[in-house]
Amino acid sequence: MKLRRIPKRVCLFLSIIALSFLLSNSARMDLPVRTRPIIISIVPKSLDNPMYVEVKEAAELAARQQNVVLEWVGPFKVDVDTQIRIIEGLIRRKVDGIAVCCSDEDRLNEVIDKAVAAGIKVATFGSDAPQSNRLFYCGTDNYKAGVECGRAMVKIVNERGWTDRQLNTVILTGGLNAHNLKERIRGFKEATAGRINLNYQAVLTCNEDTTTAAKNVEAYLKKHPETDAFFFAGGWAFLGPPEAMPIYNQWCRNGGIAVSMDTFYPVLQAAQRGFAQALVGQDYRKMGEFVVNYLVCAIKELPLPSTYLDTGLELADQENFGKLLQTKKPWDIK
Amino acid sequence: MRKIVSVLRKLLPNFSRLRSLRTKLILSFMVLSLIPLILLAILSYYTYLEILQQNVRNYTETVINRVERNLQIYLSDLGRILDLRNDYYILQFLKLSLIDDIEGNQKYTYRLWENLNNIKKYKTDLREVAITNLKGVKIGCYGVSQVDLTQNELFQILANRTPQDDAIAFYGPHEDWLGGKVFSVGCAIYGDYDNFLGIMSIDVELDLLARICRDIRLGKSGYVTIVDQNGQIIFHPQEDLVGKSVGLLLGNPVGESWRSGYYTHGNRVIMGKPLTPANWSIVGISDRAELVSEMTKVARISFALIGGSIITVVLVVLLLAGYLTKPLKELQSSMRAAAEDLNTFVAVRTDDEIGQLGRTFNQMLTQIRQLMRQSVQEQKKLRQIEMRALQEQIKPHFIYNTLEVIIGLLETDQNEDVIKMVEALGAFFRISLSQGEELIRIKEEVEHVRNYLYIQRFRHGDKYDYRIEVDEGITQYKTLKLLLQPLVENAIYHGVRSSARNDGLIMIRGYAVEGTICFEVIDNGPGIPKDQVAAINDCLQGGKPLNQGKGGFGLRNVHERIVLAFGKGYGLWLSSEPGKGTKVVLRLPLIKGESIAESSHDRV
Repeated sequence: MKLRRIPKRVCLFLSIIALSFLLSNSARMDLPVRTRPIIISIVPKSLDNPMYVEVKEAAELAARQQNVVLEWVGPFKVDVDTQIRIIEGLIRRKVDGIAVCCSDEDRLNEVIDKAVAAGIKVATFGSDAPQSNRLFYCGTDNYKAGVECGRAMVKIVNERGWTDRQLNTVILTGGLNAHNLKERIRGFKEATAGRINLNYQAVLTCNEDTTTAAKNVEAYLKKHPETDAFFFAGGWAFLGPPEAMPIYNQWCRNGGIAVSMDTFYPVLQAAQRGFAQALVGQDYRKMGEFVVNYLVCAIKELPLPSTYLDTGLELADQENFGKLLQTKKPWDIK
Repeated sequence: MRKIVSVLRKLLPNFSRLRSLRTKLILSFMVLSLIPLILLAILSYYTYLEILQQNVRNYTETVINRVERNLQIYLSDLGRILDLRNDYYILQFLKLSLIDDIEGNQKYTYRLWENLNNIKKYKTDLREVAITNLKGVKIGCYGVSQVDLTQNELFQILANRTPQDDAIAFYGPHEDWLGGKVFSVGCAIYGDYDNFLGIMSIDVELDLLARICRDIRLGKSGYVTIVDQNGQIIFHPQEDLVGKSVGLLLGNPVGESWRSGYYTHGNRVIMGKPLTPANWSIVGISDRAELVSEMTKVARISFALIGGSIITVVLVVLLLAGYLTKPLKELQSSMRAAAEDLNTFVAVRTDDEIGQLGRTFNQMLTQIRQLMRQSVQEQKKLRQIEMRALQEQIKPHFIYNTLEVIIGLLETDQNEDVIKMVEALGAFFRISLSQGEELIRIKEEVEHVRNYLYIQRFRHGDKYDYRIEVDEGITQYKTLKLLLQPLVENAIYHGVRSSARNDGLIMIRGYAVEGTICFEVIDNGPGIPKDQVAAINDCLQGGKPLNQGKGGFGLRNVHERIVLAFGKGYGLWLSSEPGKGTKVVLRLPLIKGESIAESSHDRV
């Protein structure tokens, strides 16, 4: 299986930026003298989602390296209202930079624009709000991720010889308004359309909560055992213990097809146990690292390479689940 | 001037009417009923005022105590939450964050987020539960952020304490970084060697105070407010007053006395109680006007009741007085009628005292009528007796004989004697008639009998003598006229003239004794047998009359006149001793007054 890396051009650009920053930092006398360190606040969709662990850690390390203060603030559970309140609080506190993972792009546009108007450098990461005045987006190209998931589904269906068979398909997503999830579903549907015959039965939501995701999947399969395929727009259902999903486990053994986003350690573990036949991963560490570094650049009025910084994808299937597991760090946060 | 007086009379109350029994009864009843009623109303008013004030005070105290208890319970809950500051994950987080171990702290970071959010979920008023380390890194329900410790009052308070001072610190109210109004409580966190690692803090929504106090009312407009240690209002039902000085409510300069105790300030009744751990004060403020209004309502009701009672009492008193005095009025009108017509009768309708009075009045009228009849009869009788006495005195043969004596004297040219006789006779007749007056002075009565004796003695040829001894002191008193003359006549014809002796003596004495006047007519004639004396006295005392021819008519006539005029205690008594003479004692009352004879004489 092929593992996509960061494009060499991006790496080179970043290196030039970093170097020019270091060299020019002392020479930039036109900037106002700061009385406090630069504060960058990252606002995830929620605090309880372990998927952000790697983003947070990478961001903190990057912040340390950049000698800036990093804050990680957000609602404990996905809650766009609280997210808006938090961004407003950050505007009041006049932090230097904000990076938002948008749980509802439409509702966050206004507060993002307000922050930008207040002179704060605002970026989005993971989930974009393209209609806002944010400075840049840093993260996965979610449409591409959806397309890759679709391609994986087509490949599995064709390998089983079910190309012409109508497959009862269910989608599990975190929320219906998150830009990243909408893009993934759009990419998935476009990649499968005309190639295989997927009959979408339901779009389940879980508010990006691991427990809710597993519970909803179990409940749906209990009621609809005739389901043939699942597309998981995020790996929330597999972050809990596999024993918590006995019906799904049985459904998988009975030949159910599942393709999921994310390649975290527990997701890979679940996939290795047969819970998914293909995974499409995101580079969360790069997401954290890039968002801090580019925000620092923005704060320091340095040029940015693009307003859309793709952090790349990681494709996994049954052939490389084991190999990838060896490269991942097991979670010990719960 | 007369007009002014008449107008004033019309305007001024008729005081004579105030003296009526009905008015007195009305006034008495009204005084007896209204004074206790008014006193009772005043006493009730002040008693109610006192009770109301005490109730307001008690209620305010109860309310404030309840608020304090609720806050204390809440704060003690917060204290128990803050006891979690020594939790293993918190201590590990603090230690790792201090050495900036990013990778190692991820586990504790996620764990703490979960724990702190669980605490927040447990108590809905909590806005933030957070741990802050010495570097200003704060982990709370909303993630990890950076705090400027120099601006964090709560941190400064706790950092300056010793490990022994483990009490909860308060700060606020203030605005948190999310724009919410909160107050903060916190405790210091110490390491293994009592080294200060940071603090655990809880931000509580200020609305908590509103939730506890908002619905509490002291009366209609009274309320509870909470004031911080700086005199700033941290809760008030009017949100725009939050953050303002308590002086706005209590007036400046406000001082500190409002923090505890009960007192009044202007139109406000204030009770304060300190909330010890927070150094706040719970203040209950009631509107005094409300109390006054309540009392005004009570007073109105009282006055209405009193007014109603007064009207009722007045009506009842008027009816009662009318009912009670109506028989009296009837009695009065009957008495007035009786004054003009004694044949009037009072209609008696009741058996009470007034009824008895009516009956007694009727009895009295009956007696008066009887007495009147009796009096008329007696007067008639008296006149008859007087006429008879007069007829007895002025007997024709007395006049003829006297005139013959005068003729004889004229024939013998005894002119001086004639003159004396005529003068005596004239005086005799003048006093006898006395111009119709019934009462004459004793002096005139004595003069009358003296003339009579002079005439009779002259006629009878000095066969007897007479002596008159009357105390000068009684001569100005009055007596019925012509009392002594019949007695003297008896003494002459049945006494001294019937005696063969020529030394007859008639003695007339007059004197005062024991408030009465006594006359004695004594003769030294042959006297009267004892049985005849007894019969005469018995006849005089109202016994059977004497037989005709036995004489005594003159004595009885005199006696009856005296009794009729002065009563039975007066009259005359006869005593006699055969061979020695007879004495008639006449007893009269002391009567002062002008002589009729004199007055008539004066007029002439």
